Amino acid sequence: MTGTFGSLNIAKTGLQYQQIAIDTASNNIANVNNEDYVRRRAVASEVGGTSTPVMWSTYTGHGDGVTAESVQRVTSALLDNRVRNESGTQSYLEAQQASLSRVESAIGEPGDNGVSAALDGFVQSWQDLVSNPGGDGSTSGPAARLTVISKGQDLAAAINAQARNVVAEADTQVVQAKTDVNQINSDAQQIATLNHSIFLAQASGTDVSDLEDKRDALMLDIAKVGGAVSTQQSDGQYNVTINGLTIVQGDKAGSIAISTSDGSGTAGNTAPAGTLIDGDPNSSTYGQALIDTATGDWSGAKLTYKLTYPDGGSAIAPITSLGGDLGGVTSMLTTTPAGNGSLADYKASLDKLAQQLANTVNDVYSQGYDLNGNAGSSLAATPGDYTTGNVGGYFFTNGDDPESSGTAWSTSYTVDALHLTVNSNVASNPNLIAASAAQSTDGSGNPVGNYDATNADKISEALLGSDGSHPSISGIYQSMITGLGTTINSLNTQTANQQSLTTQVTSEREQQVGVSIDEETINLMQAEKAYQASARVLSTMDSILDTLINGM
Amino acid sequence: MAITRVTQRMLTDQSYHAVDSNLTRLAADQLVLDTGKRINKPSDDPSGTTTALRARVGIANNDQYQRNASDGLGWLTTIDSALQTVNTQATKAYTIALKGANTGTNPQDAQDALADEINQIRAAIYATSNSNYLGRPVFGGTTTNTSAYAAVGYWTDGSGNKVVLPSGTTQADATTADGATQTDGSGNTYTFHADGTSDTADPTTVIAYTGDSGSVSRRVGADTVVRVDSSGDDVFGGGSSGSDSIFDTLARLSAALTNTAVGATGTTTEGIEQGIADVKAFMSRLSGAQADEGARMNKITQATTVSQDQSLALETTRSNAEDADFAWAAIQLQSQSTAYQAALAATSKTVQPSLLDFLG
Repeated sequence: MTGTFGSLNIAKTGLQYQQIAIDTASNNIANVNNEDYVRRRAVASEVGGTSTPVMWSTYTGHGDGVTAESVQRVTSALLDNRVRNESGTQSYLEAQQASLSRVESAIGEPGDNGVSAALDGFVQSWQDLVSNPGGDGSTSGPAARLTVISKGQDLAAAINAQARNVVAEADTQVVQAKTDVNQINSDAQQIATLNHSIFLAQASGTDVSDLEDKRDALMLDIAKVGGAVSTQQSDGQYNVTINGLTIVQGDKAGSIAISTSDGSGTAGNTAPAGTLIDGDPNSSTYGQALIDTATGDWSGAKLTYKLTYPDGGSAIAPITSLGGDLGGVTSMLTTTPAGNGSLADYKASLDKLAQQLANTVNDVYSQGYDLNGNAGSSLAATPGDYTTGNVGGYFFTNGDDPESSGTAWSTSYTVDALHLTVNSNVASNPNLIAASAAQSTDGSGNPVGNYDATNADKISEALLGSDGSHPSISGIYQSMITGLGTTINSLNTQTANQQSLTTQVTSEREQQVGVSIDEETINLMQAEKAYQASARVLSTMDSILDTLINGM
Repeated sequence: MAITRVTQRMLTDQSYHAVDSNLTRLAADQLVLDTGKRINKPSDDPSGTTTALRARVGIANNDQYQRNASDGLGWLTTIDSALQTVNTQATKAYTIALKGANTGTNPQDAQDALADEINQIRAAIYATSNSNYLGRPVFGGTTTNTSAYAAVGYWTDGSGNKVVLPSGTTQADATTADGATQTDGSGNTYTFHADGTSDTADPTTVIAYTGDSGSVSRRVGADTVVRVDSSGDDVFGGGSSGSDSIFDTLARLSAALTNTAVGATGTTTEGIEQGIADVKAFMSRLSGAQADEGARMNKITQATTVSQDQSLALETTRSNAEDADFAWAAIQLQSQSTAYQAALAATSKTVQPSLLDFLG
């Protein structure tokens, strides 16, 4: 049997609970635009008799009011994980798309200023040389020879510009990779700290919703940046893995680092020294910090990562595959089997283009004769020394690298897209261009020049791939451009699809965790009315007691 | 999944995405109209990009072929007018030689006058043989010299008199050394004097070929290369073929007319008869050269027509692949703009109200 003042007590629990409900609703409304916030709900529980009946002890009441059992954080681990996964994939695709699109926008194809137009101009300049092979001192002057040189320089410059652009973009990606690595490490550290705080707070019965909000926000971030995955432990702590390797366990965080080695797990996690375009632009290794010159591959020092486990750091594991932004960035710096999916691929294609261009032109060129009657293959006795013997050397060289001495063109002479240039010796002596296919001699048998320009025609035919022994340079370039275009086109589609998917799962999660102002307003009104009703109970009790005490 | 709860942020996000993607599409359509190009980046249409690039290469090549053809026609036109001039001169020389063959009736004064005319014709043909196009002698092959034929000196006989070398001897050329000697079949010895400044109207002045045996060609189509020069050796002689040149023929004719011919065939009648035969042979070589030159001109003209047609077809291909269809793009822009405004209007309606607006 309840006491006289029992109902007063019940009314008090009602007032208290409604107050908590009002607090919860107002907190929800206050955080309506907080992206990390998960809505809360005050869960009511009736206060009754003893839940376990005991012999000889009977509960005669009919309920003793209400209590706020908990303030529930309305969330779903499943949807949280979906959102993280899809956001990670989206960051991965966006990193690739953004990077390649930047390169693409600087290509200028199809147009009048790209490599393709420069190549056409170069081919035609050889044909114009056929029509006007005169040199310095001739009636018509060396105009056509100078045009061949300047068109050759234009073409080399156009290829150089694309290569520089790709390398600069790759450099940006390396910087981004470093930022991402720092971000992942900082997130992992904070998640570990929050794990610890949540563990302690839960033990003391404190509401940990705000800490969980923070941890989920960090988790989403680390998933976007590195494709990390979390598993919630029974004690409420998150274990976080990257590439299946644990980076956060309980209150301890490991770390990842960029490794310049092959990722075999050797100690000494150092980021690549300097960035790609550091250094002297005239050096032959300029721009090649990550690029293997022999294969055109970005091997040598391609970006790999190592993970130090949370338990102290003696164990180090190589990371083989990454998601998120860092995964996208890394994939851009790695060659793909298809050969047209990354910056590294595009740089390799450009190098091949430059090499093939030099091979074709130099090969045919070295079979001709210049306006002094010397063979186009005449090279200086000392490589690079043109001061004696009045010889030209190759048409295209790799920067100021001296070619090999005294021999015909050899394809083992390496030319890359960054350094392709017209031999400065030929450029300053237009008469040295080997346009003639026949050698003339004077009465004494000494070589003299002639105005035959068959070799110039052969060079233009070789560039077009019409001579049967050289590939079409424009064909090579076109397939590069088509490859890049197709890759970006498909990335655009994939990114758009992924965007829809991400929006979809984000929206599903938002349905669950988002704050609805209408709903909270209703909750608020309900609580207000309920509060008023509880207050009415009090005044009713007051009136009953008044009757009981004063009216008797 | 059915939508169970809708929050204000869902509406805001959705509105933002709708407005943003509409605006992106609007910008893309506007870019097409601004640049007039359907393909602004390779990824807009990868296969269209290849088509456009290939067409551009083709157009550039055909433009070049047409430029080559016009240069080639320049050469052939120069050759054509040179050959016509030479033909007129040769016909004149032939007539004079026939007149000169009447040795019995013509007094020597008249024969000398005819010889003088032959000398003038020789000088005129010499001038024409050095016709040039843009500074290059059209009959000189690929020589870097500015002329195809040049006066290189004269021969003297044992007594030191300037003579016209009889047939059957080796004519001097640009490389013959000063003081070189040779003996003809009758035992007469001749000495060469290298003197490039001699008067070309003087029959004893040796006019030698200074061109080379190279040929000049122009590519006027992908697989069409046309020779645009005429070999001086073939037309005028005196080159590597070792034949007597027209200048030697006319010099000997002149010497026969003036009765100053030396050597085995030194008689006047024989010399004139031989001259008539040689000039006739020269005229038939000329007709052959003219016919050949005419055929090559036709070939170039045809190739140019083909090349122009191709340029046009390729330009159409390029434009179809690359250029915007303005009407379509404009309609697209208009409908996209309408969609954008609709998205904005929808946003202004959904974002604003909540239950609070309706509570007293």
